[in-house]
Amino acid sequence: MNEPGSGQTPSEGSDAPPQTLRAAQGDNPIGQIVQADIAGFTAGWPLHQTPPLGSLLKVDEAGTIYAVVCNARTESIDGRPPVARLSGETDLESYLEKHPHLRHLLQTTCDAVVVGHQDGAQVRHYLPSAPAPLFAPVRVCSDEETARFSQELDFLKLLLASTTHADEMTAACLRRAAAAHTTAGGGSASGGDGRAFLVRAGKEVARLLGAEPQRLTSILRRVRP
Amino acid sequence: MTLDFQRLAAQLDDLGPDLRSQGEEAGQRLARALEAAHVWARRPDDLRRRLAEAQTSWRPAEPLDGPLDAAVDAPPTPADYVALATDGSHIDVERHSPLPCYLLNVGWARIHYGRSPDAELASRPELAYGDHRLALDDPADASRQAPVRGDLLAAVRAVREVETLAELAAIDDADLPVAALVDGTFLLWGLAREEITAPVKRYLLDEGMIPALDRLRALARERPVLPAGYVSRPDRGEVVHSLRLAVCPVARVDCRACPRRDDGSRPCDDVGVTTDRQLFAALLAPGQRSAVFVRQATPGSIEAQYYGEHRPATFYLRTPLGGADEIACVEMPLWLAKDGERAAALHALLLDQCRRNMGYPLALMEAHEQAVITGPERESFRRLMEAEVAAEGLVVGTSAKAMSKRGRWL
Repeated sequence: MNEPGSGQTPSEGSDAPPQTLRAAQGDNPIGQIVQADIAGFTAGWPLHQTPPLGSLLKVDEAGTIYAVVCNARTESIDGRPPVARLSGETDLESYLEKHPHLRHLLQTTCDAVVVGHQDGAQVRHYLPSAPAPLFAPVRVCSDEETARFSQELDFLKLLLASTTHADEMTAACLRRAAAAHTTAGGGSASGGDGRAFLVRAGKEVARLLGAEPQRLTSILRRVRP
Repeated sequence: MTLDFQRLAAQLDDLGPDLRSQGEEAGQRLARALEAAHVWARRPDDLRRRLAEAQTSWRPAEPLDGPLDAAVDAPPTPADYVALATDGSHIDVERHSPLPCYLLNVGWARIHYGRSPDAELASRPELAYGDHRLALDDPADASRQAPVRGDLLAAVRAVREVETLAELAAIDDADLPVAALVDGTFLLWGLAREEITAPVKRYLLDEGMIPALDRLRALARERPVLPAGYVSRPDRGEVVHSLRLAVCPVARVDCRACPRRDDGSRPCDDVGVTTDRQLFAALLAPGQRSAVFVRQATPGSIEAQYYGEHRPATFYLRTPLGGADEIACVEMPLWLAKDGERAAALHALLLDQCRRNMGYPLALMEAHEQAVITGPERESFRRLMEAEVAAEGLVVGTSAKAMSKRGRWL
C-alpha cells in the first residue's frame, strides 16, 4: 500500500510488500506487532502461518519480551466478511492462485499473553514495565530458548490467569516446553529431560490450581505423554 | 426528531396497488417494444434514416455491429489476462473546514490471472489546497474563476481515474489482454454545458481526459488493451428512444408536433418501456451481450465537440449465471467498438470478472474498496488537517455550525 501523500505513481505502488513472505522466511516466518498492551499483544503473520498454540514468542526490540500464543485467526483485512463460494476446490494454494487478489485482502494474526521479559542477564517471569513496541518483529523461540525460559515455572501463573483459552494454552505450552527440554537435553529415548520437566510443571500447576481441581485435571489430561 | 414512520406508512399503503397496475401496463409495453425491436432489426436502413431525420430532444442509439435485437455470445475466456480497474472517491471542499481543501483518492486493482498470478491493490490520495488548485482561472477574464468543487470536482476525479487507468495499462508489458475498467462512464456527464468554460475545458479535457484516452488508444494499437466503463443497473433509454421514433405514426418524426391521443398519451408510449434495461432483460440470455450501439450526439455536446474517435459506444450485458442477474451497460471508445474482435474479447473478460464476483466485475469492486474513504477516515482526515493548521500556529477557525454538530452541548 502506498504511503499517503507520497505521490507515488502506480508503478512504484507495485513495490508494495508482496505476500511472498512464506518463500522468503522458509520455516520460520517472522511476525509483526500490530497491537500491544502490558499483558499481551497481537501480531500479524504471513497468511495462514501463525505459530502454534502455546508456543513461546520473543520480541527483541527495546528489551526482550516473552509471550505465549493463546489464539490465532485469519480474517478479512477490511471488515468485509469472506463468503464461501463452495467451488469444490480442494487445494488452498491453487485456489489462491486462481484468485490472486485474495492474498491482499486476508490477514493472519495471533494473540499472545506476555509471560516475562529479559532484565539484564536475568529472565523475569513477570510483566515488563512497558508494552512491546508496535511493528516490532516477533520470532518463535528455538527449543534451546524455550527450554531455558521454562527452567523456572513462575510464568505459569500468568498463563493460567489468561482470559483466552487459558487451560488449553497452558497445556499446549507445557507439551511444547517438554519437547523442547527433550531436544535441548539431547533427546533421550525415554523422553529424558522432557519427562522430568512435565513432572515438575505438573506439580506447579497442581499448586497453583489447588482450589480448582476440575481445571487441574483438565490440564493434566492434556499434557499426559 | 427523525423520520416520522407513522406518517410515512400511510403513504406506503397506496404504493402496492399503484405498483401492480403499473406492472401490468409495463408488461404490455414491453411485449410491443420487443415486437418493434424484431421488426426494425430487419430494416436497419429505414431505421437509420428515420433517426437521422427525427426532430427530437431524445438521443436515439443506432446499432453499429449487428441487428438491433442481436443477442451475442462471448468467445471463451483466455486463461491468461489482466483485469485492471480504477475508481475514486473524494472529500469535497468544505466551508466549515479550517483550511479549504479537497482530497481525491484514486484506488486501483490490477489482477493477473493465469500462469503468473499476481495482484496489486492500492490507492493514491491527492490533497489540494491553495487558491490556484481550488479554482481554475480564466485567462480571458480575470474576474471569472471556476471553483473546483461539487460537479467540477467529481469531473476532476473522473479524469484522474482514467489517467491512472492509462498509467497502469502502460505498465503491463506482456501481450496479455487487459480489461481496463472504470466505474461508470468516461464522459464527463456531470458537467452542464454552461460549466464548460475555457479553463474547465483546458484543464479537464485538453490536458486531462483526452490525452489519457489518447494514451490508452496508443497502447491499444500495440497490444490488446480494452478500456471500458461499466455501469451496473443503468437507467439509460436510448435504444427505447430509437424504438419510439421508429414506431411514430408520423412520416418524418417531429416531437414538437406530436399527434397526442385524447388521453394525452403519445403514440410511441405503446413501446415506451422505461429503460433499455427492461428491453434487454427480455432479449438477452445470461452471459449474452447486445449489439454495440452508438448514440446520436447532440450538436455542441461534450462528446460531439471534444471526444472524436473516443466517443462512447455501448453494449448491454446480461450478467452470467451464478450471481446477481442484471443488465449492465458497457461503454467503450468508438475506436474499440469498431474492432469486433476486441469488443468480443472485452465481453469475454467482463463475463469472467462478473463470474468471479457474483455478477459485478471483481477488479472494479476491489478498486472501489481501495478508493473509498470511510466515515471514520473522513473524521481522521479532518482532525489531521486541524492538527496541521494548529501546529503551524494558525488559528483553527471553524464555523459555529460545525462546532455545534460535534456534540450536544448541555
